[in-house]
Amino acid sequence: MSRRPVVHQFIPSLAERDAVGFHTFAVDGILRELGADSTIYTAHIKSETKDLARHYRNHVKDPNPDLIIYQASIGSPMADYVMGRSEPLMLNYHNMTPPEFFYGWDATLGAELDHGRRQLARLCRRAFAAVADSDFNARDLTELKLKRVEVIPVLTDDALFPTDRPLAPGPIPDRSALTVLFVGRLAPNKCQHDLLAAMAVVCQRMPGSELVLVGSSSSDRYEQSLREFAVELGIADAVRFEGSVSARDLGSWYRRADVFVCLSEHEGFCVPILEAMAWGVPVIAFDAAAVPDTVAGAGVVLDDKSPAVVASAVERVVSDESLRQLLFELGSARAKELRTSVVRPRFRDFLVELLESAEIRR
Amino acid sequence: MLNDATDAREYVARIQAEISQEARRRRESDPTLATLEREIGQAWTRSAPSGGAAAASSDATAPAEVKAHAEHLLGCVDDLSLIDVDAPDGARRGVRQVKSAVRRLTRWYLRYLADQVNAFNHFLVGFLRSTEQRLARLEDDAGAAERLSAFVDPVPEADHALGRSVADQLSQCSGPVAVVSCGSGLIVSALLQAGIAAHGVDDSADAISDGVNEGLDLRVAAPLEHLSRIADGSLAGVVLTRSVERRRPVELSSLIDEALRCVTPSGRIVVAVADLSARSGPEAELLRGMGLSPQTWAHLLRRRGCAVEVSASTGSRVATLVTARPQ
Repeated sequence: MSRRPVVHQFIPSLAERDAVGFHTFAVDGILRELGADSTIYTAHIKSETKDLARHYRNHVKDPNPDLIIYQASIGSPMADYVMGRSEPLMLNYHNMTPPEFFYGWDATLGAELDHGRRQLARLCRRAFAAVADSDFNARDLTELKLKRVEVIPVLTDDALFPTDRPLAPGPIPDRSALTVLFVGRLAPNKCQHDLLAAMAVVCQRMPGSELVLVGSSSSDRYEQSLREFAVELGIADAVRFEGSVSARDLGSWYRRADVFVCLSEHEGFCVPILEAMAWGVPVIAFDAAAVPDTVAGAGVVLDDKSPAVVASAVERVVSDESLRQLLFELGSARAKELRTSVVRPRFRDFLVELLESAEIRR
Repeated sequence: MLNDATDAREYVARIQAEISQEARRRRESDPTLATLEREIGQAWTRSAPSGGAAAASSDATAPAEVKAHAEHLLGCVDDLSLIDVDAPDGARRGVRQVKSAVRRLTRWYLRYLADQVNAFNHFLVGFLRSTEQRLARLEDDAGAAERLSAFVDPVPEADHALGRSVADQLSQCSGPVAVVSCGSGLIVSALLQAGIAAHGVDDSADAISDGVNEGLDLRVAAPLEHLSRIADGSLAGVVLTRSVERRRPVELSSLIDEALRCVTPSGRIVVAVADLSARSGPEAELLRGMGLSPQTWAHLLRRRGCAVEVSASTGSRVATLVTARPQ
């Protein structure tokens, strides 16, 4: 292609602090570096991103692109628009939560997710290539008969990783002031209720422990039930709902945490696991969806998340010095493997290959 | 320290296995832990809306019929939401006026359609809201019975005479017998004295502690859950007593199905419950809709194809035993 290739990225909702949002900006950066004329389009522009993207309704007025990249993470009317276009389409798939998790909590969101999954099937018929964050996500696409799927982890915000990272794990924590951390939206698929259940047993064995939940709410009903559940279990004082926090505060929580516990039933990648590893926090996670791919043996992965098992795992991880040291080393290595500085060249190479491919040149 | 990454990962895998073993050991050595875990599960069911507790787990299941309706409805919505966004924008000279008129007509027609869709949506949202309110009221009413039963004294323990009467009914059985809601194990003890292998289950760890200290095989478990884990036809008998007097008919029906599945073709199911007419004033009012009379138990078991015998018991509180044999 002799002239500058024109590439348009579409993302249903664009926010700077969101993992998919950051990834989209990183891809935009790579495209510009490759000399492409890159523009981001979205259906929902947040105030902090209004100068960085255009509303997709304006797209019809813009010059036709050589390639469209669709960042797929939820259903959106924008996907129908993209499918109506004739340009080559590449999917960048970050997974969609199965709607079953939400039907009992927020039927509207459940219907949106269901719609998104159906759109994904149509997008796969329309796209000629895709990038998936994990092997788990790639399986979704290959099951939908998309032939060319490359697994490249999501491009993470290195600013969230510590610059003054500790060189060794912290001392054995005080059993009377243990901090258990989980970072992620309050959502039924992330199973914060299982964390509360486990904390009821942890608090019996180690009174004074606290659970910190960082992340905004996806479902008011789920959040309300979590708060009621904490009261029912008698651990309301031991659970902190921190909501969405700034990058600085998030760093403070990672620094303070003694253990990071993720009991999600469904994750397409789970960036917070990597962040915890980067901050030197030992990780305990439930063996579901893409979580074992992300942990990759650098944390304790449980195949049973009943409260007694999770509590035993927490107790073991905080009290076994050699295990803490090992998880610190493995976690550090894993976080380095998936840092943007390592992953970015892979994404760049893939885009170079794509822009030179026959589908784009046609 | 460990030699390489493979060693390290193997070490972590070994730790994972040790953690599971540790949890199992704690459960075995501390019966209150199993009780606490069950209470945690029940607390979540109370905190979560109907359907939410199951939906937020990997074994999320919805009734097949409801799911099928939802699938169909969503399919229709999905099909209807497909809009051809490729506007006919290829312009030709001389047809501008025609296209302008077409656009105006289209606009009028779309508004006409949109008004109807909006009216339908308005109605549908109202309907869904009223349905949700009604469901919430029904769920509240359904939960009220359990809450009220907390104000009534617990069902008394079986006495020795009742234990002997039950053992007489099962004297022909060769094989293990499960006693549901066994309490401190008087019926289990009577069965063992009659030479019948027996174990008991009760959902209260406190209730069984005396019997456990005496060496009886008594376990903490919810009755239905316990029976559901037993293989088909592996029990010679099942005794249903005490807590079945405080359960709703629909739960009892499931309990009968599980008990029938567990017993051998020559096995027996013995129901030892007090008659409903024996309930005092507050009990009669607060436990309304819970438990069944021996006659109704006999009826339910006959309807499931069992040969049923109603006999007198020498127990002080339970005057009648219902014994069923699958046919």
